[in-house]
Amino acid sequence: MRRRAFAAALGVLAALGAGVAGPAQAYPESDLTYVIPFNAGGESDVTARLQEPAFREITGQGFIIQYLVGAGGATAWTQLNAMPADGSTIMGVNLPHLWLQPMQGKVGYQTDDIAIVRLFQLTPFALIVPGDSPIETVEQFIDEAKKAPGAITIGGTGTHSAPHVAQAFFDQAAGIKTTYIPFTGTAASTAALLGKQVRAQWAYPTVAVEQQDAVRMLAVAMEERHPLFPDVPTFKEKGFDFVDGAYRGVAVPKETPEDIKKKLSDIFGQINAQEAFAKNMREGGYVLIDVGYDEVGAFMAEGGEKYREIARLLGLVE
Amino acid sequence: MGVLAHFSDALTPFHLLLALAGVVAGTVVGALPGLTATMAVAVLTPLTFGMPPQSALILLGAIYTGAIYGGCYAAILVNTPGTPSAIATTFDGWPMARRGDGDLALTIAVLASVTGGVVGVLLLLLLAPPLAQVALAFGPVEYFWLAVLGLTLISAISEASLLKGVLGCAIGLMISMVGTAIVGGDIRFTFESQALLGGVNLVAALVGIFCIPVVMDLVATPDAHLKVGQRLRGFRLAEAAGHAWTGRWNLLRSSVIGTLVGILPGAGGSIASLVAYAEARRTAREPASYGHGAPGGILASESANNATVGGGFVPTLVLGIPGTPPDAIILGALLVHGIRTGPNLFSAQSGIVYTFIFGLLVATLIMLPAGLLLGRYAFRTIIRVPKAVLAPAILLMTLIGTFAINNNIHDVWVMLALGAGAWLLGRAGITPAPVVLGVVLGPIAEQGFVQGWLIGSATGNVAGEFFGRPIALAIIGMILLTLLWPLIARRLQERREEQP
Amino acid sequence: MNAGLDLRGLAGAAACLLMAGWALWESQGFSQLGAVFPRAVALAMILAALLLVLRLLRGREPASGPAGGSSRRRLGLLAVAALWVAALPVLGFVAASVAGFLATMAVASFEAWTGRRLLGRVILAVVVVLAFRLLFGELLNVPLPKGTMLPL
Repeated sequence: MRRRAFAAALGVLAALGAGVAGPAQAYPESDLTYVIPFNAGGESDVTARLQEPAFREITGQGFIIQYLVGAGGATAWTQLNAMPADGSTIMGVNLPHLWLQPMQGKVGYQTDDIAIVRLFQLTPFALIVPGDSPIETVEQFIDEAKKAPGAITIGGTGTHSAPHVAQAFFDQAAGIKTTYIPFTGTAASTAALLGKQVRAQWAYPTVAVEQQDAVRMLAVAMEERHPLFPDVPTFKEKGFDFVDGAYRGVAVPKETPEDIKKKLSDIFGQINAQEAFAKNMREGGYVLIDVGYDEVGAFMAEGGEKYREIARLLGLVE
Repeated sequence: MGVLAHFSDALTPFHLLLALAGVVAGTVVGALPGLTATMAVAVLTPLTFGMPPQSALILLGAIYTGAIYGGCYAAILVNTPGTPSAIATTFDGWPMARRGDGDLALTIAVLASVTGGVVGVLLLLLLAPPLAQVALAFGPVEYFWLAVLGLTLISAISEASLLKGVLGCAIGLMISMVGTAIVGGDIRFTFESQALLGGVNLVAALVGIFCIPVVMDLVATPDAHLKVGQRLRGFRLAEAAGHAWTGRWNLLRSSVIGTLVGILPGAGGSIASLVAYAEARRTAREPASYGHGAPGGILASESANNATVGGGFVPTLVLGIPGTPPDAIILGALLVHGIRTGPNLFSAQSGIVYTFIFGLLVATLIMLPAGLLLGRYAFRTIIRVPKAVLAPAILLMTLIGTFAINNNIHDVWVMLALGAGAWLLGRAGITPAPVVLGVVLGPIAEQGFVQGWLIGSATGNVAGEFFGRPIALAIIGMILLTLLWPLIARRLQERREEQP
Repeated sequence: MNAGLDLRGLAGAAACLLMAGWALWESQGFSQLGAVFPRAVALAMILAALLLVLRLLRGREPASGPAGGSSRRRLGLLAVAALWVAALPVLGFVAASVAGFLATMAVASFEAWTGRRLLGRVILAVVVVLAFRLLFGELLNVPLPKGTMLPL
């Protein structure tokens, strides 16, 4: 304990004295416990595993990955602030989960309780149909939905999860009505799409990267076209102000010292900048983002406002 | 590179060693109540990151198949399925062990597991792409009917009273609804508790409901835990092989059922072994002996669950959609190795894929000697250890296993509470097996039903959705056959007796 | 055969009726999608429980046999297990498990405890727990509970 406090004090001194970011700061001194709120083998887990070599290169330390699974992540986030707040424990966080779950009530944390240090990754929403579907464009999709309201079935993950948000938002924006079919996960909803059990799917470009010609993306909810799919338009081009997706980042217990939070945020920023890691992520269909420690507050506040509206759409709040 | 070259690549000393180590580690982890195949693969995956991808895959496949097999130890010797896949093994394995045939039951389980595993891998090797289409043809409605087919087992496993079996199963279905619903998003039956938001973990429920009453009975009397004959009779391999030969059609049918159910993402080893068990019992010459220590029950359950390993890799490798939870972890490990999964894996990385499939085959075969030796060791340990040590040791294992599922002490409390509840129900004549049947099949039945209903409503044809699809109709036919079989059998018997 | 009413069976049926009634009551607050299944199961449960009561009263059901052996030991085991679980997050895996192991041995043994036997059992408990700690915690990487007082 004393050694760590001493090291922290040294770090502060070094930062004050030198004025430039000195590599001398001792944090982290040992492997970090990285808690993943989802199953082994999922996107959060794979991302953490791929981050580890870069983390080791930057800091000389590794991760001890632990899984604390349950209730769409809420089990882990509820326990975050009871964990050691000395920088030894970090936890993966996901959006829009952190906004939506407290609005549903009954989870044991509030959005503001979670001290996010950085958001590093985005999987934008994408509207996907089977590769041989007669629907080839967003316009055709909307026409089809208007012809028979509610008749188009769209697969996604559980009720009130991120893809459900996309469905509710787009239905309202386009003035259409579709039927959302919740499945246990992205893999299950993809299987339902490939088997034509549903006619479309709200998911992410990662599905199109894996399934290739077996599926067709109609549009993605990005500012600009996805680099791996230059032929797929954005919803913006089609006249919808719809730029959103599922975000991933990392958080620490609230009481963790400020300088450690900043340092961690910087390290995860450096990981994103590392070419081998970035290339691997890009090829998987992920979009790297850099919402650092200073910007997270504003980002969360803005998103929170937007998701209050969306929660109303989903019928979660009055 | 020809197919033979991949085969010899799987046979290098390093790969053989990996397969052996994986099978042994997997068996040990799987044998413990609470530590499942998923857990075995998850905790050992980091060991593979330093290896070339095909070696990593062989190790993970060996761990997986070993863990599914290992589930039979606890099922036979302690009446607690070591993994959910071994639920049906308890039905006959435990009665056999109680009457003094534990060694025989373990040897039968090895033979069945290896047979099932080999059939599954061969089908994966030869028929993977067409079989993957079967997985896709299975929609929500088919999953619903499959779960109903599993539920028809109530009549077989309700020991004394069918009504009590139905009640037990309903209690299990209720337990399966606790937590946040995937479909509908409602938070149900949580007693306002944070710990139950994520629902009751299936494995925690299994361990509690089966194991706690067993340990409670264990300490209640000074009698020995298991009966044994005058002297130990070795492996009893010839005797076991005799049973396997008598039940060869059962073995083959169960292996095929296991492979087919394994292919379905969202079904898994527990359902495979339950369905295979139901079919074996229906077609058995003496169905009444099932549930009272019939070797055929172990043959069906253990061959079916190991066949799901090969079956589960069909959608995993062909479609990039994991067939079972351990497959999901293996897919994740492949991504970390920098291998892009999906429909192109089979063609673009065929070298790795074929080496892996042959490696899995080798690992399955290694299971025969490894399993025989481990089984004998486990059996001797459990009959030699005095009761005063056995009870705390089993309790310790359940605590480790249940805690490890989610790294969460709440699950251990849930396990203990369900165990106490199961004991109370047992006093009222409601046995654990139907309760667990409900817990396992509940989510599949409910999600399938509600999804099918939503899809049917969207297309304006709910009846057509549930009763108009060919695969659904085939499963409904099997359900009717299972339910009406006792009547049909009696009618046939009468007709046979009428004719001189 | 019919040696009076099967009170245990009746109690079980009554418990099921209560549970099903409670589930029906709770399901009022669920969405339509979330309520279908609980209601169907609860109704089936009520039906089966009523039928069971009827058959029990007419003596048509096989009696649920009384369990042999000592119920005091059974309940003792439950109590020890509960204390063991409660101790895990405080004392840590090793300390709590050695204590729990010894207590369970006490519940499970039918012989008198002599001084020598006690010593042997303490050693055994420590060895077994440490062996599990090594095998699962170190070799197989299985996560084990950590205590707030002792982090082992």
